[in-house]
Amino acid sequence: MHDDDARLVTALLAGDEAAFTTLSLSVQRPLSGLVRRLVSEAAVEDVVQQTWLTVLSSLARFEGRSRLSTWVLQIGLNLARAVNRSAGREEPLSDDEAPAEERFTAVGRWSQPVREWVVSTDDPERAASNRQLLTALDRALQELPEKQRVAVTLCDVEGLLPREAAEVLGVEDGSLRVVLHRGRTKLRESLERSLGRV
Amino acid sequence: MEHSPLMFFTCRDLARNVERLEDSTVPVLHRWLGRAHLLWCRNCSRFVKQYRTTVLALKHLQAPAPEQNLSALVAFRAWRRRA
Repeated sequence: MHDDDARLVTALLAGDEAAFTTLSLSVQRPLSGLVRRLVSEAAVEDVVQQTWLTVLSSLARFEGRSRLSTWVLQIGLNLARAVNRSAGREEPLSDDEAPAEERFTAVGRWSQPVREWVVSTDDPERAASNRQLLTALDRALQELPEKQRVAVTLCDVEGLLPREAAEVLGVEDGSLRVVLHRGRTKLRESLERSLGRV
Repeated sequence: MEHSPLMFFTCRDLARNVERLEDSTVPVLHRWLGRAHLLWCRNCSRFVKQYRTTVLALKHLQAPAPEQNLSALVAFRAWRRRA
């Protein structure tokens, strides 16, 4: 177990509220961000609170195979999935095919032009804060298959390292990178459909 | 990077490897081929800008940091009482 995590676990098991505040402040935002992308808005608060209760009641069994913060996110992900299953919430089918193969000809050229967006991307930094783009992107992210949505949310929205996101999802680093690339590519395609000039 | 015969660095190759083109683990020749491809291919140039914009924009979807973790603290105090 990582030294910092071992100290934190010991303090938490002793009921140290300051130690808990340290942990929760570092994890609450990615946890809430992840859960918000998986369950209905009405269920977010319950799932987050249930995550903390599960973390605390399982803490004595934490083996340190991943970082403590990653373990919290794993529990949140599992609880969010369980809530969706019991609510019968439908998830888009996952696809493991390479994305957008139909966009290319047999010799690997674009089969149709990549359309310009109504929002100029000449300066990506500036375009990235455009309100219209963000609204379309928010919607597109919600429509990604679950694994891609989780990977993109953890890495690109919440700023986790790909290695950490791979641990949360229980996949190898290489698989995570593929899932992440496919998710990003699908989001760009979706934005092209929403924002592309006709 | 997936390899095509070097003379035929395609749009598909570029779209598949867009994140790795600046990566130092990619052979220099492939990086140069990617950059050269972008100089003449308007579609790929547009694709790369849109891809970068998409990734940058995702950071803006992060919710503001909570000032207080009330729900977390409520859970902690409930657990401590029971423990």
